[in-house]
Amino acid sequence: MTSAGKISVSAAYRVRVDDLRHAMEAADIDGLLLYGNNWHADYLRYASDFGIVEGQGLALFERDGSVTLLLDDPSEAERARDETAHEVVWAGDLVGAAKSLILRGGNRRVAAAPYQLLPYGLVRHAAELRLSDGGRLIEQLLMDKRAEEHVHVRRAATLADCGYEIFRAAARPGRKDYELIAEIEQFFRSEGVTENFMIIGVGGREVRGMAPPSGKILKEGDLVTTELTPCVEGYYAQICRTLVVGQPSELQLKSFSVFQEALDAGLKAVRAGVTASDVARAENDVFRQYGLGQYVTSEYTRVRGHGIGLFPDQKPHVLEDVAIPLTANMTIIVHPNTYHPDVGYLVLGDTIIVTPDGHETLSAMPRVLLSA
Amino acid sequence: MRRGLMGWNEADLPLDALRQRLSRLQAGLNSEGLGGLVVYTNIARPAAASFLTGFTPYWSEGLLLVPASGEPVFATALSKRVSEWIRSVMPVGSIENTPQPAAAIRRKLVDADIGRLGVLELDLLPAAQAAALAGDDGAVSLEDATGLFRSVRIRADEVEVNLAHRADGIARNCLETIDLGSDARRMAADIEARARLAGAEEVFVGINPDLGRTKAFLRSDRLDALGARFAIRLSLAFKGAWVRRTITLARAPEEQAALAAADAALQRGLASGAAPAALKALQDGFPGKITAWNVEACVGSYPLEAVACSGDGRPFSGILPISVVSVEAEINRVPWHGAGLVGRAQSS
Repeated sequence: MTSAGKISVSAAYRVRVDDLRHAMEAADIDGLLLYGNNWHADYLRYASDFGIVEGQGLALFERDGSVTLLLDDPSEAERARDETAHEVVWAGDLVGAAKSLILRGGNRRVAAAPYQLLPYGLVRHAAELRLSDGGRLIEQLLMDKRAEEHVHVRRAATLADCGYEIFRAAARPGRKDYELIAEIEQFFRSEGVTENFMIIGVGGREVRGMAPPSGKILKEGDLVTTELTPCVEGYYAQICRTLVVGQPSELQLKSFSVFQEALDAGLKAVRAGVTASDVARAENDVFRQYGLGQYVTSEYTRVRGHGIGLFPDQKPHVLEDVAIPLTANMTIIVHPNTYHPDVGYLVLGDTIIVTPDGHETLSAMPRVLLSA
Repeated sequence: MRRGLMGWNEADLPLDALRQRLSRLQAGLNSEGLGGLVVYTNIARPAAASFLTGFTPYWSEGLLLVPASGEPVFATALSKRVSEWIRSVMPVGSIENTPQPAAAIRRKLVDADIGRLGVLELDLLPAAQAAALAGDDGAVSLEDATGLFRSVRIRADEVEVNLAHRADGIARNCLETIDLGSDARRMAADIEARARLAGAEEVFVGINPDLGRTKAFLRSDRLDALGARFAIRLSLAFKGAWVRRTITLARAPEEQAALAAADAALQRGLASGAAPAALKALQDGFPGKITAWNVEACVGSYPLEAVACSGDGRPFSGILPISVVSVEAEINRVPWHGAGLVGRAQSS
């Protein structure tokens, strides 16, 4: 956890280490075992500041802040040795190495998270390893954000705006959907952005959602939807926008105005103390008011926004049945993305910081139906 | 997450090839007396499900059940809205979109009266999936079937070998022209863009910016100035086939001849057709001192995993139809890295 040689430790990681140590002390936990892979890298990253790409990893975070990192890919272990000051072990047998590490520590209380993703080979020996579910200990820490963490979310939001301009400029008739993504990824890598969550939709009423690119060729009049989610120092920020190849039609503009109204309503509902449910209801009421209530159900839309941080799809999920309260400094995205029967799938959303009285928007991109 | 071109077509991955893979697995299941095999998939461990169905998730997770007879079932936490997309990239089996994939698979097992279930890499199965699959009534017992799966998987068919060579061709083209005047981030960005424009499904570019300082291949966030000699490692996937290539470059013109000789030796070795022969050829004719090597192959759920390395202390004689051989060496006392695909097409 300390700087050694050329290894620099970010302020965000320092505050995470402090918060985790305090939480462990309060829960009387000696060690916290965090699992991660390239899909769910957040828990591992929180405790080790290592962004895993290939294979799987486990970090044993001790109450004194020291970390042992077990990685089952040899090249990832080499990178971790270069990027962190932790003890790093290439563990071809991840489960065996983790068991040995925990048992070597002796008679201690070790919690683990996310427990549901932990290898079965460890959990089936939970009693012998004195392993318990540590999810509650870290989940709130993942949702809440410190000012030191906001620095990276803000930078990611700025890069999301810039990335969207690249996307917009690339969206010309005759281009393939994956070519647009190649241009954005080129921009992000040149800016030091290592990860980006991104899906895309191209077409009209037949488009019911977004997915990875399939080679679709853009044509005049197509709606092009995307969510860009660049990652800076492990922290994601997301922007959702829709553009039209060419000039938008009256029908496209009219349909999109429902989404503008819904996003405004959702954002207006945000402040510390309200629940995720309150925000979702505010968004969905707008759709219901226009007779579009069926399009806010799970048949057409997954969530009306979500937390964002070390994971691009963090809790709380903004849904009418999620009672998790929003707290000041939480970072979330509000996005009333769904299908509109007149024109197809539409998206619109911004990453915000929750404040005691409302929110701060991190994106500077106009909330309009754009054209390219 | 996967965000490159993802698509299935009969020409690249014939349905018949997938059916043959499934049949081989089902024959193995029957001979072992197992009612089915479950393989887990997410973006870090997509390879087994991809081998059997052509499907790779772009995000989230899922379980594939291959019963000892009948059609496979893919249960995934990806929402129902994307089932149309899944169908477009997964030409075999049925799809269940459910927040609890293991519970859905268990219902199928109970309905089909399957009591003995094989699981690929059982110890690595996420705990919640294992608990839901097994249930608490003793009706389903989970057994590790990694060996069985590997015995089927290790026999790459011509379709797979050809896809791997196409992936390798993309990687080779991306690394052919490197602007030595670029900074490291720009270099990584340009290589990745070329790979994505060529249709790569996923791309990881790592650069070792200074072979005199570190052994690590870094991502763009940690890249700064390039040293006198540096190396680029490109890992990419094309329609589920993963390859790596590593090249070493030097800024000084006087080093070029030595690096060209090392590259030529590597290419000769890689052309040997199999990993053990490639390693022997390299050790016999490399213009420098080989300090370490490893062999990676796709034998389970990982896209590429280390199956042998120089530190093992055991002779390596593995028969792998396709693999990636990576070598570390010293040339004129300066580190050198090289890696590439080994494997010839074979009849299925």
